[in-house]
Amino acid sequence: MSDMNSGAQLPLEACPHCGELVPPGRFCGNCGAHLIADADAARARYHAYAAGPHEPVLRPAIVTTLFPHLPHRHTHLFRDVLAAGVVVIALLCALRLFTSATVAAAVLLPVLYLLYLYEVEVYERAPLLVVGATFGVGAALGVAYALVVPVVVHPSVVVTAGSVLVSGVLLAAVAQLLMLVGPLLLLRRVEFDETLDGLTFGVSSALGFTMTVIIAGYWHVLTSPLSGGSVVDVILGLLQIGILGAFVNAATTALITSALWLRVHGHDRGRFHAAWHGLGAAALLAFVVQIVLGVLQRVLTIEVSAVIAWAVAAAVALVALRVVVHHALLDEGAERAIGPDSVCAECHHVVPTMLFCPVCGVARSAAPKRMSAASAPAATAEAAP
Amino acid sequence: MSYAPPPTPFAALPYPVAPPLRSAATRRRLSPLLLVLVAVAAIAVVVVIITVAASAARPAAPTHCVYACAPPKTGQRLVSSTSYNNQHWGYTVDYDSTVFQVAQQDTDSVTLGTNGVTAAVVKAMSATSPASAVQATINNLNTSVLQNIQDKNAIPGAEVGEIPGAGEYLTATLVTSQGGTPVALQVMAATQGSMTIVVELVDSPAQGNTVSGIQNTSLDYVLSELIWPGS
Repeated sequence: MSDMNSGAQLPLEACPHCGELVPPGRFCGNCGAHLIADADAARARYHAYAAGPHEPVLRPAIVTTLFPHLPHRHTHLFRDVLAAGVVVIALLCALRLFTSATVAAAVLLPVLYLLYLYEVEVYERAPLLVVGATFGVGAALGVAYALVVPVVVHPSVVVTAGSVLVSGVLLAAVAQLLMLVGPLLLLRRVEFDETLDGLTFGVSSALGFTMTVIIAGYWHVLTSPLSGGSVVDVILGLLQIGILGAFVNAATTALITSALWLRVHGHDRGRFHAAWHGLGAAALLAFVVQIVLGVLQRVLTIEVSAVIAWAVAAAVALVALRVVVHHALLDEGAERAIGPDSVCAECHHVVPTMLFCPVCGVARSAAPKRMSAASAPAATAEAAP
Repeated sequence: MSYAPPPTPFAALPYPVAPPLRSAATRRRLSPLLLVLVAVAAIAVVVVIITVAASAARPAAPTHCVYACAPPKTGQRLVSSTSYNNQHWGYTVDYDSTVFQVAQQDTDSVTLGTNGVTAAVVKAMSATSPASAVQATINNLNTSVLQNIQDKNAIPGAEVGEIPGAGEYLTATLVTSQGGTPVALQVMAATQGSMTIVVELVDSPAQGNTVSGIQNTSLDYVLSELIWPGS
C-alpha cells in the first residue's frame, strides 16, 4: 500500500468490510463503512447518508438531497431562504398580488439552485456549458411544452378515460422525457463523470423546465384582468405547482440521471449492485411518480388533497433519490487511495484525503468541486496500484 | 434502519480540527449575507420584470362601453324580470318570469323550469376551485333524465355573474314523457370570496354541437345577470 504521506504516520487498521488497511477513524476511508457499528448495519450505513452523514438515508430532506455538495454548515442558509421564500409567497397571495406570487413561486428554487451551482462550482471550468445545457435547455423546453400542449390537447375539466390517458399519462411522461434532454447532452463528457454530476444536472434541468412551464403556462392567467378568488386556494395551488411540483420534478429527473451516470461512467466497484436501486428501477419509479401525479391532477378536485398528494410524492421521490445516490457514492471511486492531509468540508477535521472522511464518513465527491479539484491530483498520485 | 451507532468522541481520533480560514473548506464563495442579498435581489428583479410585463399585456379598459359592460344596476333589469333571492348565501337570480318558473328551491340552490322541464339550476357552496365545482356538478348529473352525456369542450371565458371561472360544454339526450330530446348542457362555476356558485343550463343544442354560446337568450340572462352577495 502506498502510504508515503501523513497516513503513513498513523497506525493503519484493517477494515473488516473491504479488507484494506486504512487510517483509524469512525468510518473506513476506502469503502465508507462504519467501523464502530455491528457488521450488518455498518456496511451500508443507512444511518449516515454518504453525502450528508449527519442525516439518515431514509429521510426526505430537501437541501442535503438536491444540494449535495453543500457542506453541513452551509445548508441552513439555503434552507432558511427557501422557507422565507415560501412565507413571502403566502404573504403576496394574502395581499392579492397573485401575479407576483406566481412568479415568485416559479423562480424561488431555480434562483437558489443557480446560486448553489456558483457556490460549490459544480460546473468546474465550464459554467456556461453546464448551466446552458441543463438549466437553459430545460427552460427552453419548458416554454415549448407550455405553448404546444394547449394547442395539441383540447382543454377539458371533465374526467374521461381519454382525458386521463392523454393529460395524466402521456403528457406526464413527455414532460419527464423533456427534463432529461439537457443532462443527456453532458452524459459523455469525461470531466463530469460522477454520480453527483448527474444528480446536479438533472435537478438543474428540471428546475429550469418547471419554472418556464409555470410562467408560460400561466401567462394567460397572469395577463387576464384581476378577478376574485379564494386566497387559500391560490396559496395551496402555488405550493403544489411551484414548490412541491419543483421538488418532485427535480427528484424524479435526478433519480434517473444519477443512476444513468453511475451506469455509463462505470465507476462502481460492484459492492452494492442491486436491481432495486439500479437504473431500471430508478427510471420506473420516476415515471410512475410522474404518471400517478398526472392522473391525480385530473381526478382530485379538492386543493388540499392535491397538496397532500404532491407532498407525499415529493417525499417518496427524495428518499428514492437518496437511496440511489447513497449506494452510488459508497460504490464509486478507485480502490484504496490515501492522499495527503486535507480539511474535510463536512466536519473540518484535517484527515488523509481518501474516498471518505475517516471522521464523519462523508464521501469526498460530495465536497464542493473546488476542494475535490484541489485534492484529486494528490490522491491520484498516491493511489495504490 | 433504526440502528444508532455508539458515538465516538472526536477527541479520541488523531485528527485535529482545522483552524478557521485555513483552507477552502472553511470558506464560502458567497458570504451568508451576500448570498441572501443576491437571492432576494435576483428573485425580486425577475418578479418585478415579469409582473410589469404581464400587467402591460393585460387588455386595457375600454374607453367606451362594449358588449362586456354590465347593464345599469338600477331600475328594473328586464321588463318582465323576477328575482329569486337566496337567503342563506345572499345571491340573487334574475329571470324572465314569462319563460321560467321556480320549480324547486332549497337552502343552497334554485331550479328554474319551463313547461315542466328543468332549464337552469343555480347552486352555491363554500369556496372551491371553479373547475372542481364544475367537475362535481357533472359527476352528479341526473342520468335518469339526461342520457348519452358527452363532453364536448371547455367553455373559453366562462363567467358567472361577470366573475370569471370555469365551464364545460356537454351534449345529452333529455328524456321526458314525450321521448328523448337532444340538448346542450352548459355547466359554469365561479368563486368569489368564500363562496362558489355553479350554474347548470339546459339549452338547445347548437348546430354541430359545438361551443357557440348560449342559444336561449333567457338562459344567458339568468347566467350573466346573477347578482353575487355584496354586488
